[in-house]
Amino acid sequence: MTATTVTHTQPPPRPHSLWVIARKEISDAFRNRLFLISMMMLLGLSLVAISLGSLSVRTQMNDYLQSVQTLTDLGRTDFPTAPSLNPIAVSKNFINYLAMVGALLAMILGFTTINKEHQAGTLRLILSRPVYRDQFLTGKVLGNAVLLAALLTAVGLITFLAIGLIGRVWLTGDQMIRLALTMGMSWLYLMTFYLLAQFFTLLIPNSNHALLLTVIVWLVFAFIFPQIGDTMDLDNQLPGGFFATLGLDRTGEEKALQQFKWYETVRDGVEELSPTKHYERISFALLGIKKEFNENTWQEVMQLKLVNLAGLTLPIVLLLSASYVVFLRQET
Amino acid sequence: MTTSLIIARKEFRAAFRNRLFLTITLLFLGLSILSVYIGSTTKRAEMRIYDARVATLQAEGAAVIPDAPEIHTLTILANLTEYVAIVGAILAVILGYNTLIEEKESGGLKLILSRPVYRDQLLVGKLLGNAAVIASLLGLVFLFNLILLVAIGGILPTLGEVARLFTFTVMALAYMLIFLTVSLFLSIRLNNGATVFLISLTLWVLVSFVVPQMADAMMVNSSVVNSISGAINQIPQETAVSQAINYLSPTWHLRNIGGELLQFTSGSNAISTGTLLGHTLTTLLVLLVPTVAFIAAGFAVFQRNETLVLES
Repeated sequence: MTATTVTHTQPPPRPHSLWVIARKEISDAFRNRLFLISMMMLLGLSLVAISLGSLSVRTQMNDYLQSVQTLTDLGRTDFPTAPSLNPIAVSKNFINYLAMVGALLAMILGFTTINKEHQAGTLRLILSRPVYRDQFLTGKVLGNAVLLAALLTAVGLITFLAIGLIGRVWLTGDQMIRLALTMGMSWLYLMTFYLLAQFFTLLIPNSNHALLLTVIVWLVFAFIFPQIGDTMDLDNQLPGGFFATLGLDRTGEEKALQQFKWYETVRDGVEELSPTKHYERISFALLGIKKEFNENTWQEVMQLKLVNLAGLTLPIVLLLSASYVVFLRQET
Repeated sequence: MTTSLIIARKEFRAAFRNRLFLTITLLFLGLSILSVYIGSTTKRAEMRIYDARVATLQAEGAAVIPDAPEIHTLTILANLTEYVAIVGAILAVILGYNTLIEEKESGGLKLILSRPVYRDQLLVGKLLGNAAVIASLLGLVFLFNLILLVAIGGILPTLGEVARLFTFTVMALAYMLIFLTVSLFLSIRLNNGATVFLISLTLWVLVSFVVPQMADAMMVNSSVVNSISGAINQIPQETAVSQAINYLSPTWHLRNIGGELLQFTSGSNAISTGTLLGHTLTTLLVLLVPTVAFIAAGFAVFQRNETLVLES
């Protein structure tokens, strides 16, 4: 009788399988027509918003230069001070487009990344090969994160070039850092919705239900909570501001709001729940759309808006962890 | 017609067996309660601040007293417009996107069409059933808001105010039908439910948010000097271009007429009944145009579809 020794050895996972999956995600995205349409829509809308803002800056600068010329021709030397124009702040609509179309695009990616494997039956096939579940998921997240980063870099570059070429104002070093940081915040924001869609698609066997649930959560956090916050904002009730209409300055407004502290706390609490509000607050501060941050350096703005940065990072950590927990325990 | 009604009844019952639909319906109703509560609390706070300010100014002997904020009974329901524009539209998409896809996937469509059911009867039945679901839901919201006005707001609305709220509910129905018919049309054309839903969602984002944002960018700020503090306030004003862009958005039309009917747009109280009626009818027509177009396109495509292929 001969003894046979059977050794169960698994071939070691290839070190580059993570990158193979990530690369496949990127190439797959460019074959997804809906993703391509949303991407073109986002890039096109950003270009329109920046171009309109840049044209407005150019017109205002031309008006100023013309009035200086007229005064010079009249022999006057008491020129008015040049208008303080922040070219990125003028183009603030592109932030709104990123918040809406960008989130939609991220959700399309998050849903498709898992759904395509379910539909084609390739998930079982891949997992029967020497690919660990965590590697598979990490590869997918990595690929889509790189894709979103590339997209936002493109939006940043379009912004920079459009302001320079159309508005004829080239951004300073500080403004470029602010723009880059804003794109970084946009990436965090889009990753939240990518991970939300991916998590629900992993969790719920019926892909259509997963998609609907993602959209419902998106509606609540991105539209309804900020909307409730806006409605509860007393100053938001009249065009031009409620307090300004009553002739109250900032100190008067704060004094008036003292008796509604609980109300303001609830409003703030509702807004804190929304990643969209965090994104809006930090990006508006970085780009100088909120004028009170104009005097601060970008480092100071980041320090002042640390809560918003945490508010953007926390959902990512939670959703990523939850995705791993769900996927690693799943019986495919 | 009987066949269409049977299909409509089946659609109606099926909607209320869909858990996700029920979830979003509850969300819609829950938001209505919240809307009335927040609306009445905000307006009360506004009035308290205004009264305190007037008292201070009178004590200081100020010559100019600011106008009281325009607060009407229905102003409290202002948020309803937003909830119809956001949750209502998605609810209509949820109803429409799966209308034919589910039956295409399960093979039920072939079975139905192999029976003595005409294609137009099937489509009419599906449309009627889903429209009835939306109408019932809006009817519930209408009743809910009237009760809440009394229960939470402590206000008994007049007959005129009830009529205004009812008219707004009709406008909301016309608005939601647009998204129902868009997704229904897409569900006829395409074979994948998720794709239908995502395309409908993209269209909704485009017409509800992107188009009004573009219009906002074309508005100009006019400076208004405050008569009390002397400070300059910037107030955005419509331009011809911004208005032209806004006309493309059904959501803008809904918000606009909502502002006039629910009296949360400043100056809406001064609009005469005749003018308001004119605005309402025009908006209704504008909102019905896309619905009619999508229904017509849906019929044209569905009647020519080859669902039953004879196998040799």
